[in-house]
Amino acid sequence: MHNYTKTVIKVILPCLLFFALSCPLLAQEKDSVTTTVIKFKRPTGPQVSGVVIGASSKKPLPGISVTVTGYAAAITDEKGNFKIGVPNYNAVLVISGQGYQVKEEALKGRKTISKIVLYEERYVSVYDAAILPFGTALKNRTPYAVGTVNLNGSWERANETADSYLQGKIAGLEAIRKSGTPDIGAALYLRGYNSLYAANQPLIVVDGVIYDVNTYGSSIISGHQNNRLANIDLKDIDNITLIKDGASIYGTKGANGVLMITTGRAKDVATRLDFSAYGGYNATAGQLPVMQADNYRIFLSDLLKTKPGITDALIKAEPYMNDQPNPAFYNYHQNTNWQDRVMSSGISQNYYLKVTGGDDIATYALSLGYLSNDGLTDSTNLTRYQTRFNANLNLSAKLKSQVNLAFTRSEQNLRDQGLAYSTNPLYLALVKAPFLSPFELSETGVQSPNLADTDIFGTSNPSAAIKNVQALNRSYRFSGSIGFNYEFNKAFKANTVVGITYDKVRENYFTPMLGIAPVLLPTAVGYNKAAAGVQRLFTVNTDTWLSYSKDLNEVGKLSANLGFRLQHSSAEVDNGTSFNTASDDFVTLGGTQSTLRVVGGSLGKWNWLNNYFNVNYEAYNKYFLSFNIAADASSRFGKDIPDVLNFNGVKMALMPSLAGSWLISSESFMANNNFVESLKLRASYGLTGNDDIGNYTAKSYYVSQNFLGRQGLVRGNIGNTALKWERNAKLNIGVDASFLKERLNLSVDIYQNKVSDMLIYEPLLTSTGFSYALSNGGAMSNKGLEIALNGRLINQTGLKWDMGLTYSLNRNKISQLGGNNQLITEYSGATIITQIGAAANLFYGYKSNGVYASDAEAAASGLSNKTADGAFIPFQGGDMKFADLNGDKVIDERDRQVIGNPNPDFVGAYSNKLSYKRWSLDALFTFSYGNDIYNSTRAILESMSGYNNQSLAAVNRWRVDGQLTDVPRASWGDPSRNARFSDRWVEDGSYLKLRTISLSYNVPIKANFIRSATVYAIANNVFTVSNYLGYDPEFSAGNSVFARGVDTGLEPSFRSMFLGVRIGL
Amino acid sequence: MLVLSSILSCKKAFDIEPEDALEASQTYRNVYDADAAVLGIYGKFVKLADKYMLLNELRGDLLDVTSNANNYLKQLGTQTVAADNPYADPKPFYEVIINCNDALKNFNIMRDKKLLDNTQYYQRYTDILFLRSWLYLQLGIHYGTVPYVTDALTTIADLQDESKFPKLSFEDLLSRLIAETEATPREFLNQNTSAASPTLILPMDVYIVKDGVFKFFIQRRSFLGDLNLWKGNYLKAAGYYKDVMETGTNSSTGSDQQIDLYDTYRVGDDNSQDHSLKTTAVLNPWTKIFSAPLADRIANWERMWTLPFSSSFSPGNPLLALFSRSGDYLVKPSNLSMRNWDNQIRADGSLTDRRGLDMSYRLVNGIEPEVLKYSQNYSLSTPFDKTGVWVIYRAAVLHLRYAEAANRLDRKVLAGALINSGIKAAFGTKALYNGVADTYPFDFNGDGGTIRGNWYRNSGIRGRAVNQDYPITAANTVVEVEDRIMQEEALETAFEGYRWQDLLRIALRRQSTDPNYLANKIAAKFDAAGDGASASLVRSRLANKENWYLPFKLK
Repeated sequence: MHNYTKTVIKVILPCLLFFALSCPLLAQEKDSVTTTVIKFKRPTGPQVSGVVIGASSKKPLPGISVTVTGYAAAITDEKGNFKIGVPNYNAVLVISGQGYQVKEEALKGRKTISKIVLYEERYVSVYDAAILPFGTALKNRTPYAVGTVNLNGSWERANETADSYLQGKIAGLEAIRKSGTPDIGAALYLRGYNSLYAANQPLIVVDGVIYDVNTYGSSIISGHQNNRLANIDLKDIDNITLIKDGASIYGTKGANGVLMITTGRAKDVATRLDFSAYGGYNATAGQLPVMQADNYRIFLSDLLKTKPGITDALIKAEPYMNDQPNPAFYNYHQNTNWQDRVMSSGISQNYYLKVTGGDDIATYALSLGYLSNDGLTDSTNLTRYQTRFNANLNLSAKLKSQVNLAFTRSEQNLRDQGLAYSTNPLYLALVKAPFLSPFELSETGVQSPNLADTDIFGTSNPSAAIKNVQALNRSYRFSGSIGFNYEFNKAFKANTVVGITYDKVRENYFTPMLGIAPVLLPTAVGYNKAAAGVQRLFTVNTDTWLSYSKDLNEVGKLSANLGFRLQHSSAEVDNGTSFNTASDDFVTLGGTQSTLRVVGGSLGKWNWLNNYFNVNYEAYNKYFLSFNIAADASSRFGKDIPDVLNFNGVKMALMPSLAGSWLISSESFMANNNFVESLKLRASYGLTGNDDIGNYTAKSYYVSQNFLGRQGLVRGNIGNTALKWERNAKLNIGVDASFLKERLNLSVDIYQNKVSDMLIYEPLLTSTGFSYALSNGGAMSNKGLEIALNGRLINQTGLKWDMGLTYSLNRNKISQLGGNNQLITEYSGATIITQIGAAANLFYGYKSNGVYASDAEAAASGLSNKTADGAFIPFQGGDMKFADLNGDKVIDERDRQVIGNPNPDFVGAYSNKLSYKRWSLDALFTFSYGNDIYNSTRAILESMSGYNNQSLAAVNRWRVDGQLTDVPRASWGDPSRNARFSDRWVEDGSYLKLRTISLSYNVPIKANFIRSATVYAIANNVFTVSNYLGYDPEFSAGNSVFARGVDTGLEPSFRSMFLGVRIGL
Repeated sequence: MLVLSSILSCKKAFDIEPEDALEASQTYRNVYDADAAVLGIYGKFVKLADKYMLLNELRGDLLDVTSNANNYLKQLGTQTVAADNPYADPKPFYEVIINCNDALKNFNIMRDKKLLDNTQYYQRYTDILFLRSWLYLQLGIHYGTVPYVTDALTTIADLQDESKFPKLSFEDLLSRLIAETEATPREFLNQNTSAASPTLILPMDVYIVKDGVFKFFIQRRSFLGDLNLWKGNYLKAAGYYKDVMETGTNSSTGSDQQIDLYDTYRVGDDNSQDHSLKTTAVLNPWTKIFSAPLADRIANWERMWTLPFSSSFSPGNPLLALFSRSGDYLVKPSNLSMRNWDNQIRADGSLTDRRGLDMSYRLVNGIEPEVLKYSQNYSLSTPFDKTGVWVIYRAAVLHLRYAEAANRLDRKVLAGALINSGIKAAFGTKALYNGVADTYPFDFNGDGGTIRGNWYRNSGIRGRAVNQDYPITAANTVVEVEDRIMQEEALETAFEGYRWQDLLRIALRRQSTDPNYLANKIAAKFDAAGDGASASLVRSRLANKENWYLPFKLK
């Protein structure tokens, strides 16, 4: 088989190329509106005249192009006047000009148009260009729910990746930044969860080629997630369009929406050079309040009294309790602020150069970039180099070609985060005893430069976790594509794109013996540890289609596309871990003890074929209808799926969709309505699928099982050869409207997405010998509302104020979970329930109600606690009162209830852009409301069950019988499980953030050779308004739905400030 | 479009075989695949060791919990197991069973396709069939009525098919198991050897290929004996056991069989200090059964079915953590078990059984009893060397069970001979019944004259331990002798995983005459520990036969 797939590729690729070359292709030009081929016809018919003025200047605009697509064109004179022939008085004028928005004006029977208001390029408008799979369309003409962002380089943003940049930009797309680590990106959810166990990330298509951003294998560095999207520099991106529905053209990859990204190309043949640079300062995050040495020592003595077998005399004998002069006195009488030791401010800088130009035959755009950015954790940083080359070639009058090449290399020094309790410096800084020193101290208290070793409590030295741990991540990505378009005649074009992606991540990791707690292994003690990992992805994507476009008659236009996409991917993950090199100076895997080596990895391959057909019909420029259908085959689908399309034994997924829109504002009866600029009603319904069901899960397979040193085979699963794609039926109704000459724009969508055949792990009978089997037994729905509102509050010549608001509300409901009513999952200490009739992924734990003030009160309750090993212990004074839900006087797992919902009530953003003459101020606020967070860090910092340093809240702990407090007692090992997963740790995660604010000044240029110059100042994460007690209410610990809202202790985001300059030559 | 249809017609483009797992179609293609299935099953089977010990010993009267034990372990002891008790989860057994079912199904297919010849097929099929039956016997013992799944459950649809999960009572289960195992042709009832399965039995790691050493595979005949003993087919049981005892008589000595078959499984004594497990004044080699290396010649006269533990390979040695004072030390010898040994009188008249203190258990720090059978080789100075051996079946057990069957057929004196000091000591020459030489399967020749009988060297179980005999004569009742056998079993095989099984079997047998047998036996453990509350709890729980079995966790 291995050889066979190779042959497939060997055969198919040349075929495709041949196909592409011999049946030449068409291309759709990017800026189709501005470059529309204009056929000049003698204006024999009716004529229309009008005047075009600038929105804020209110002055006539000369040199603006006015066209009737495919019929006539004109250019405004110095007074902004134009006169143009039209086929009839129901035609639509397209008005465009350099530096201005494109706009459409329906005549609606009018013969003169008094004022056509044209806004500057960056204004968010109903006429924004949307990049769709078969070309660019103005948003007011698409029947689908799409969101577009025209970045224009987005020079006013610093240190963003495409996914984090999208936060708050498009209603319905929730972007949760994963952590404060540079380049880590954001988790993207379109309209809530679309799957429980399969991918939720939208499909990303860059310049027509699918850009795989899924993770194959996890990082060997704890808490780190590789962000493939960071390999595209934001300044290279021209436009991002999110197709929220109607993605059925992408078949079983479209369920999470499709994010179409186009990168910058030369807009004309003139040679242009853009250079930008910024540098900045990264601040540290605010510290969590933990105890200092005095409080901690008292806490320790309280705690140790509850340790079985410990007497007061033994406690006094502990070195850290001995205040008399002794050799170790200074070692235990410091007061270290450990958080200061592990967090550091840093600097960040970025340089970017882009050259565009060319001639009639070929245009090109070449960009180079360098970024360096220090992380919050001391000694962490990121360096990234990237280059991109895009070219358009006019090979003949009919044959055109595009070439895209991009290469990125980044190198990132990291440290463990999250659940790595002996190596995560941020965690260690919180729990490390404050009376210790990071350095060795002499008997007289003189500090040595040597770092102190693991302490008497077995806690690593946070400074060692910073200085001597190595965690290096190096990633590379090459993506290249070449496309051809051949125009047979006016109606028919053939197109093909072939893209290759090669992505590799290399990681090296080392933790030293000195200062880091050793690990107990089955056959040895691991004193130091080295690990290495490699993740590889190789993908070939092709897309080949025939397009047809024709004006059928005076009223109707038809366009259609028929084609197929083919994806062949292989992913490989290899990693190795071992221990005990000869000394901490030997940091590579090769130097470790060979008998302790553990190697692992995985191999995956998949093929996907997507055949599609699309037909669009429009009539009178106001009725639009679009039908899409895809038939997908995939190596991931089972062989025995009943009742689906079967082609020669290959099971196929059929995904149709239909969408229609009515541009009411183009109706004649709206002709004299000056209030409404544009009004469009949309409705769509369609099927999409999710093929992320695992490469081989639909097969019965065997895995290896050792018997001593020999390898045998055992069953790996109960195969489900009927396993198929998840199905997502999307219904969407929307309105796009613009009022008062575009001063106010509004887009509202309501939707219902029904997910069925959803992948779940069904619990099985004991007697099957397996715990779970994969099935398509789940179903859920999402209903929601999205509003995107923006407008211009002040519209003066010098002063402009644009404001925007996006608002998204989604309600998720599980309707089916196979044969079960609920699924209970664990993630990082949190218990999560997913049950029929409720939203997926709710926190499921105990409800608390204060602390028993006295032993008598506890005894009176009659309650006892069921311990982890099944014993029953009565509660006592100072224990938490937990609700006894079933009234059986025992607090056990049957008393758990829903104690929180990590899903927000609504999310959104509020943006402002204020321009005054050459100054411009941008501010973006983002918010999330009503989402709950499990604060696992606080659960540790208030558990009071071991040597860990605790938060200041623990000072208020219950200490004497009768004391009224809401913090329970300190107890060794927490036998009453006061720190169990309960509503004590579930907090409101609502927040409002001033994400970014930037001020720019457009410097007046006298010199000839400089086209433009802008200086700007940017601040990120200026402030956060939140009641959350952890570092940062915004985080995403993993791609899994079940990780949502679980704060595992990742690096928080931090404030940063930049000064930058942009120069155009 | 040409390309498109050609891609689609390439069905294989959409049927990619995994590279980090083996697809079903890639397995069971030759004898090596069949071997891999057998090895995989045994690899999983080894993981049951600690569970098997806990269920069979902690529920019995010889093993008790320590203060380190959690409540779930305590539940096993006090017979109050809750459904959520992880030690009582039957799933680990079914994890092995499903793989057995799968292998059996595929062995049949392979035979039909001529991928396995007759011997290859039967050796593997019988092995896995017997192993699965062994697992089901355990399930029956502990859970009573259990789902008897024999289907390989290859598809999700099978999970909905209730006919694939028939529930059988323990009695019906025994009948089924006997019927299925006894259908095996007689020539394939011998334990697997390298001669019979040259590809399966290969040297691995430190273990050389020796059929006397390679006893990783189930002992088939003794298991048939056990099944029939449970069912009450005493004559058949005795026959199977006797056949095993005569392994040395019946087996030809192949080049591969380098150990002294003659002394194998006879609980014998070759009259020399270093060639026997017999206790002498200075040496007590008996303990080598549990501690000697796998290739040890003498210990292998005794060991019949062994699975080695190695710290180099998963699952390591799970028994150390359980039993060792240096591990978690969750369980310890019960006061009752220690008293059993203390109450014995040696042949020379001195007190205490030499199999007790410092052999089966030791006192750490002089006070904390620790089971020694698993931790003799364990040393704190080399904490990661956890080499050990799980002896699942051995000759003494064979003799005790044979004695149990024979006694039920009125061969009280013969039973007594085997548990006391051997055939020669009891009969001088041939074993007699009603005054005449007994016939198969009760025919033993202990003649020590010039033409010595096969059983001349048999020293008996108490004889090997150099204890005074229990006087057993034809005048004793069957029940009295049976009690003696149980008592000897407690002394010889404590903590090895036989106790609950044996007590339950007797309890079932005496249900009508002595319904409280089990309750009294288990309660005695708590009485001896001075825990009257638990004793009465156990007594009342076990007075109800339903509580003899654990709750079966369905999901």
